[in-house]
Order: sequence, then C-alpha cells, then structure tokens
Amino acid sequence: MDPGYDANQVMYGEDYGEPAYYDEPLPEDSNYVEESEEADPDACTCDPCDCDCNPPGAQKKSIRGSKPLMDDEYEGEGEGDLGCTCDPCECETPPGSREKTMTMLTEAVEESEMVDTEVSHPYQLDEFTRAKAFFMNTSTKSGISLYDHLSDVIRKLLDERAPTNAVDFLEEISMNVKRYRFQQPKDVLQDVFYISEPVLNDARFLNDNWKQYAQWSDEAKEIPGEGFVAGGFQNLLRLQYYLEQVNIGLPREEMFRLALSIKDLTANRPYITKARFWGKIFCSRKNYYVVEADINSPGNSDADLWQPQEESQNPESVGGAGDAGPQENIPGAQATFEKAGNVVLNSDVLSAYSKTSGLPPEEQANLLPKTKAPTPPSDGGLLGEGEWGGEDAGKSPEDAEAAADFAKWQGYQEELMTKFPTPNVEVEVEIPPESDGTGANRRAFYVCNILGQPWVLLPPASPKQINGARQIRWGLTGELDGNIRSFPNFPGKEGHLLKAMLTRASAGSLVSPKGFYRGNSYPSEYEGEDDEDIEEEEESMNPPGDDKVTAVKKYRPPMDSLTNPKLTFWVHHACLILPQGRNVWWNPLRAKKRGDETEDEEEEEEDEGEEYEGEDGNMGPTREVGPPLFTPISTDVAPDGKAPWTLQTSSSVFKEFQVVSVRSNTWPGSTVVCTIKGKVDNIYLGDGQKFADRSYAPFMHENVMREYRIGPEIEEFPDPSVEEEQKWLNRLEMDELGDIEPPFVDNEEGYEEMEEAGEYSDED
Amino acid sequence: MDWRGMNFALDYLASTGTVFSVEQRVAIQSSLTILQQDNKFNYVHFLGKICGTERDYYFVCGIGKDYIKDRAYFYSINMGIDWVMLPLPNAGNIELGLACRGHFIGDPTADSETDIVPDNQDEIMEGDDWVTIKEEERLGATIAGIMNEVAIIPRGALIKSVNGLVTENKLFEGVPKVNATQFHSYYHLRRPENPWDRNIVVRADYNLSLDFLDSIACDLPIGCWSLQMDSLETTVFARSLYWPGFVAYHVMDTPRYGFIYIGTGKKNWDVPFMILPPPRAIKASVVEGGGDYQFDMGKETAEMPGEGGDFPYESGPDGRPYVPQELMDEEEEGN
Repeated sequence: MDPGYDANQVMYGEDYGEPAYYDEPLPEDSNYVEESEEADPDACTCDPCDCDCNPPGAQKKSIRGSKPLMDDEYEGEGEGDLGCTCDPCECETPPGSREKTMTMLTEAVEESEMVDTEVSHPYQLDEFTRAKAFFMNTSTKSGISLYDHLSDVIRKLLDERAPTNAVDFLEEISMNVKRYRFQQPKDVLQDVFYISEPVLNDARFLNDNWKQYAQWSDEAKEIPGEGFVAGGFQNLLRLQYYLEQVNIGLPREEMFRLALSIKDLTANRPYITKARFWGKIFCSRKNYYVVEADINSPGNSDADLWQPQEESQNPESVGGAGDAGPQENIPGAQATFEKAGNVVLNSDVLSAYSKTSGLPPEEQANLLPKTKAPTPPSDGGLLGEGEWGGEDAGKSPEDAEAAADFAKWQGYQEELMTKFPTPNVEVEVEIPPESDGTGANRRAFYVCNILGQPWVLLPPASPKQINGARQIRWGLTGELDGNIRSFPNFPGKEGHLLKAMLTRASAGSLVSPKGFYRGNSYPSEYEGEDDEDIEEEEESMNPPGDDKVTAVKKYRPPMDSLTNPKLTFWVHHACLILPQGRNVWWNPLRAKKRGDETEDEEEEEEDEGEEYEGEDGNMGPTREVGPPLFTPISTDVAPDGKAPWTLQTSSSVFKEFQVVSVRSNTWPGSTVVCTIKGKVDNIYLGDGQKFADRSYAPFMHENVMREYRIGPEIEEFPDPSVEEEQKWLNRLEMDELGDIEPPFVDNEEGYEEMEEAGEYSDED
Repeated sequence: MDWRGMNFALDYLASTGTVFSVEQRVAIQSSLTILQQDNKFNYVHFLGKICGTERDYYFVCGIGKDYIKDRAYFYSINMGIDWVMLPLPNAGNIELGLACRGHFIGDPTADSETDIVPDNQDEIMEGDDWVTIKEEERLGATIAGIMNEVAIIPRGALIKSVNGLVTENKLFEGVPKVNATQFHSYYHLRRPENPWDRNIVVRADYNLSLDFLDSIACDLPIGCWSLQMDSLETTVFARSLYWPGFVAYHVMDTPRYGFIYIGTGKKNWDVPFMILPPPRAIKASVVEGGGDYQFDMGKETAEMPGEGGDFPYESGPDGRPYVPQELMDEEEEGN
C-alpha cells in the first residue's frame, strides 16, 4: 500500500490530478478522483483539509471504486474513521459572488429540511453543520453573521415581493439591509421630531398673518392702513391664472403667500400708495422677490432702507438722494497723484532722507525743498574743510561719493519740483442722481429673500451705478451685502447692482397695450374714453423723463390689434434711461461753470440744461434725448438684429378666452399679459441678466501713465559692510551723534577697535 | 422627466417660473404617447423648450434599454404636437452651434451666424462673412451641450448592472437631507468623461454600481452650480450658470427627480466673470493622478450624449480639463 499511500498524499497536494500516478499502482483510482471532485463543492469550495493526514475512507473507496461513488456510498463504511479529525475548513470564505452563497444557502435550507424529516446520515449532518457553522461565524467587524444577513435578505425579498427582476438588484438589496441594520439607535434627543428653524419661522409667520388678515370681523377692519392700497393692490391669484395660460408663472401657493406678504408690507406703511409684484429674480444662493412701490413721501421710508453692512467704509451711501458714497472709496487718478505728491514732497520725508545723506546738519537743511535750491558743490568738494577735523577734504574718495550723491539728489529735487507728473485723465464730472421718486429712481423697489422676512427698500441708483451695471456681467447671489468683483469696478454692493438692474429692466421691458396707461398730467384721468381719443391725447402728456402713469379703468383692447404681429399696438410705458444714466439729461458743462454749487440745482436742471446748450452751441456735449413715452415697441431694435419682442397667444382652441402675452427677448424673463377683458400686467421671472449678443469681454485698461522718476527715496542701496559702518561711526564720533549708537562689536578685533575708539574719545 | 410624471414634476418646478398651461400639458402628453409607441421607447423624457423669437422649440429624449446609450432626440416647432427627429451634430457643428450669436428664430432652415471667423483667421476681413450654420444644426449642438454639461440626476437614481446596462434604480430612496445640498450627490447624465476612479476616490461609501457617472463637484469653475432648498426644505433645486434656464429638482428622501430647460438656448460663456472665487478652503475635487487620463481628441465625429464622445471645448489647450492655476498650486502645496 505504500505507493498508493503516496499517490493519495499527492492527490491532496499540489500535483493533484497528474495522471502518471494513477497508471501504475492504482489504475482504478482516476475514476474516483473525478467523482470526489464533483461531490465536494457542495459543502465548501475550499480545500477541505490543510493537514497532511490521509483520509482513510477515501482510500478505501478508491480501492473499491469500480462503480461511481455517491454520497450514500459512505453509508456503512464505518463511522469511526470517516475523514480526518482536523478542522474541516480553516480558510476564509472564497471570494465568490453573493449569488453563489445564495445558492449555497438555499441548498443548505433544503438539506436542513431533509435532516429534520429523516434520520439523516451522520456525514451529511456533519457537512451541513459545518456549512452552517461557517455561515454563522460572526464577523469580528460588524458583529453579524452571514447566516443572519442572508436570511434577512431573503425575508425582505419574500415580504416585499419587490422589485421585479430582483436578481438584478440583489447587491443593492443586500446593501440596504446592511444599512438599515446599522442605523444608530436614536436616543431621546434625536427621537424628538425636529423641524428646522427657518421652516418653523416660516410657518409661524404664515400662521400669524393668517390670523391677522383672514378674519373679517370688526377688529380686523381696524388694522392701520387697511384698505389704503385697495386701489393699487393686485389680485395675484388671478394674475397667476393668466400667466399660466401663457406658460409662465409661479405656484399658486407661492402667489398667495406673496399676496399675504405684500399685504403685510402695505398695511403698516401708509405712504405706499401702490404696490405691485414686479417679479422674482433667481440667484445662486437665494432668490429675490421684488415689489415695485409708489411712495408718496420718500422721507418716511427710511426705516426700511437697506444699509450695507460695512458702514464704516461707505457711510454716505445710506443717505437718501445723494448716494455717491461707495465710489469715494475708490480713489481716482487725480487723488492718487495728489497723495503720492504729498508723500514725496513731504518735508518730513525729505528731511529724514537728508539725514541719511551723511551731511552735517547745516548742509542737510539745504536739501529741503522749502529753502532755495542748494548750491552746487564747489570744486573743492561739497564739504567745508574745517568740518572734518584732521582729514583733508575734497580729495578722499568718500567726499567724491558724497559729491556724486549730492548731484544726484539735486537733480532729483529739481525734477520733482518742476516736472512732477500729472494725470492725463480728464476729471469726470459727477453726474448727480435723480432724486428719489423722480426720473430713473421713480420706482421704489422692496425686495426680500424669503416670503415672511421683512421687505427691504433699495436705495436710489446713481447714474454711475447704472452705467457700471451696463458695463459688467455679474451673477447675483441673493445676498444684498455681497461684494462684486468686476472690471470696471462697480461702485457699490450687490444691493446697488440689483437696484440698477431693476431700474434698467423696468425701463427696457415695461410695455402695455396702447391706451391702458395714460400720463398723470392728463386732466381727466378716470373717465373711460374711446381708443381714438386716447391716442390723440397721448401725444402731449408727460414732460420728457417723467413716466408717472395711471391705468385706465374699463379698458377694452381690440383683439385684432393685440394680436397684430407687427406689434404696433404695444407701447412702452417706462422712459428710456439715457446713456448718461438718467432719464432727464443733465448738462455736465453747467457743473464746470457753476463750480461747487451742484447740489441744489437738481430741481431746475431741465431748464438750465437747455439754456446752456443754447448758449454754448456746439461747444457742449450733445444733448441725449430718449424717445417719448408710449412709443410703440415695433420701433425697438435688438442688438442681435432679431425681433426684440415675441408675441404669444394662450390657446389655439378657445379664442374666446385668449390671453395675449408679449415676451421680451432683450430681457429674457420679462413678460406682459393682456386678457380680452383688458387686464394687463407685467412680470419678470428670470435671473436679471440682459440678453448678451456676444460673450462678455472685460474692458481693456487704458494706457499706463508715466511714472515719476525713481528717486533716491525709494532707490535701494546696498547695505554698508561692518567696516564701512564702523568707519562712518568713527567719523561721526566727532559730533554728538556718535554717542547715540555704540559701535558694533562682535569679535575681539572689534573690541580692540572699540577700546581704541574709547581712548580716542577720551583724548578729545 | 418622463411624460407620465410630467404633471407632478411641473408642480415641483413651478416655483422656478416653469409652468405649463393645461392645454399645453394635454397636448404634449398625448403626442408623446404616440411618439413612444411609434419608436418603441421605454421612456420618453420631456426636456424643455428653447425660446425663439418667432416660435419655440420643444425637445424630448426617447430612451431605450440603456439610459445613457440608447437615446434619440426629437424636437417640435408647433408647441409639441408633431415631433421631428433631431440630426446628430458632428464635432465641428457642436463647436459652431455653441458659438452662435443671438436668439433662435424658430425656423429650422434659417441661418445662424456664429462668432467664428472662416479659415481660422484672427479677425474678420473685409468682405468676409462670419461662418453660418443652419438653425437645426445649432439646435442639435445646443441640446447636445445641455445634455452633456448640465443634465443631472441625484446619486443613486441610475444603476449600472453587471452586464453594463444602465437602468433606473428601482430601489432608489432619494438623497437624504444631509447630502442633498452637496455637489457630490448629483451626477451628470452623460457617458462619463472623467477617469472612473475620480468619483469614487472622494467618497467613503462608494459603490461601483452607483458611482459610475461624473459628479458635478468636478465642474469648473467652482460656483458654476447653484443648489438651493425651497422654503419648506423638502426640495432641492440645482441651477447652472452655464445654461441659464436649466433647473433640476430633487425631492429629498423620495425617488422624485427631474430637470427641465426653458431658456434662450444660448450658453453663457461669461461664467468666470460672474462669480466670486471660492474660499480657499474649498478645492476642486480633482483627484491626484487624474492627469493620466487622456481625452482622445482625434475623433472625427462627436456624437450626441449617450453615444459617447468628448467635447473638445471642455478641455484646455493640452487636452486636459482646464484647472485654474491657483488650484493646481494648492494641490501641489498639499503634497
């Protein structure tokens, strides 16, 4: 049996299945090997035994093995010596897929049923227990066993019977089971149902407002300001219905909350004569809701006025009409030059420098610009001979250096005094902003981020801000205090930019059917008129730049004219903002003539502007004139040469209930709707950006101006060496100055030098 | 969004200004039913509309077995009644189409003028015209751009099975609130362009069957996406600065998500001028060693998203994605 023994040993070793062994000693053995291969993987794919022992049962069967060996062959083969006694499986689970373990488990389950019903064979039981024991090994990491996990997965599948094609999602199911198992047990604190603070505040606000306005009892009518805006208040839900017909709008819930919020705004502010939902602006962090309001006395609204957070930097911007604050932080070219001149020509700086020139104090005084120009050094040198004790002045190299220094210094002084460079930029005339409630600042805008938060009034925009907003492209973030990084520099914070954007968008995109609005200077405002009459009388209404208009009651537009694709029936009811940044042109020449008294002139500016133009003739800048109010939008020109307005009708089926809308392509998001009953409303839902025909390119900066010559005050000199310094100090010791600073000593030589110097001074 | 769930989706999207009238919804849903039946699609997703000066283009995407690869695009110029298949743009047209000036008109046969000078000159010469393409080609390029750059889904909404098929994840339970406002939780709905490990390296809980797409956290510059929660803190809206008008929504902890584009169809190339630089603490999630990945630039024809294809305009001059120098320096300092 020795050869066979060896063969079996090899069989479990690495050279398993090599045919040469089976030929000679045990020719029948090959048959057995194949069979046992098939039978084995049922239990475990790993090598069953790592030990060197030879399973005797196997050998016995291999000897017998003419017929195929099944599991039941083991029956009666002697229980005692079955298999080896070592641990059946020491290896880890083979890295097989989960499907494999699943099939194994189901087989194990079947086996267990078999075990229960029949008195099964001990070997079978043993294999099953071994497999089960393997499955029930508890993971040292997670603390659960594969057995529990698989049964959980199967239970989940059987319970939910979902999803279909469950085998495709097996990994996910398994992952989910694991994830849910390891959820942290919630303690008492976590267990409390938690609603975040903003949501809760929102609900509280809504609830309060609801209680305040929803009850129509007597006390509700006593709310201050109630009914004040009855004429000017919008029916936002109806508006939303019309907007929905032309495929824009907001959710109805939001519209209702908005209406509630606007009611809250107007209820306590009697100076707001009209409040209109202007639109919603989508920004990157928060969104803005914008309400356009007419304020009859602007001074009252200061409480709501938005103030930038960094008040120390721009305190002027808080003020009402002025608002020239922010740009004062950015020094202009003139200011920079003045500042530089002050620094350079400062006597302190110059005297400080002159002290370093190594000259005696009397000579130092000559360097200062206050005195006469210093005399050029004589041939013998700059220094008086007697001043330097025993040294022969004028011939030593130090004196030559000093003379060169002096010459340099003198030339620099002369240049500085005579040719100090001046900025070649024209001093811009500050164009005064139009006061609150007039011109470009006629509309007051209240904004808020979240409905329920207090509304904030934006300060009026200056022409500089409006023009700055025209020159840049900046994404709004939703925070009014946000900084803007752009070139050219925008004078202000995001709130100022927002106001400028709203002003521009209003001027560009507020249109209405002809005849719906009429100017305020029209004598009989509220009487219904025929369309023809209105058209005639519109011609001479508001002065230029004034776009205070009033809606006509009982307006009935003709449907044919509304849907005319030429758009001649739709007119602007907001004034164009001139390139100057104002609605009413302001003559910059006047400022030059009048000098400083610019502030009080705003009221009389219109007349005077004309006067000056008349006087100066061609000398002055050309007067900018916008188109008159109620100009048809068919005359507009878009930058890309395509149609600036797009007409849309709501329904192609029910023409009787049609809603007509005109969409602005220059200000994407701006729409006006008009129903057949004559309800007209403008709304803006967009991101606040004007349509850009081409990509934005930042401005090239202007040519660099000439710098003043680099003088000795910023020129860098090489540091003196220790010896030079020492020499200089020794020289100074003749004066009192030498006592100020002890000589530098760092070695013995220096120490000796110091001693010598001390002796020297003692001698003096 | 699939047309079956369009009503619900539009309810969620309404607070971003996206509303469709009842008549419009009915028309679109009926026509899309027919479209799906005719073309044997599994899903038909309504993608949005591009506003032209005369007419609007509505466009949809039919999806077959695979969410990423089996796609076909259709557009309509009569408010979603009749649908026309959109021709696939080639690589040159994509570049030209995104460089077009001005608005769409609404006429597929109209000429669109681009910002491109013929023959690679530096400036336009006297007598030369700008390169023009047909508006239908521009439409194809625009839709390809939208789908490639901004179409997003929350993480886990799609699952990649073992045989490589990308399907809807039936077990998707939504992104929890903690993760819902993070850029790492939203993936591009396109064939991934980043190296496959770029996305999983940044996740502790990565899962190869879920994290096979590009995350929008890799998009540059940082800040080109905006994630907002609504006032009730149930829904997250993602908006892209590159394509103003694109909105994606996801209702947290539910498998409801979708996106829509309603805009002018013009890509906003000015994003770098419009945002503040991110705080120094935030870094682009560019994984070390990602530079080994090579874009194959030599492709003759780029295909629609879903058919694969790399877009050369997304990358820097040397073929690698553009990374600002500051960020590169920071990474080196980090080493």
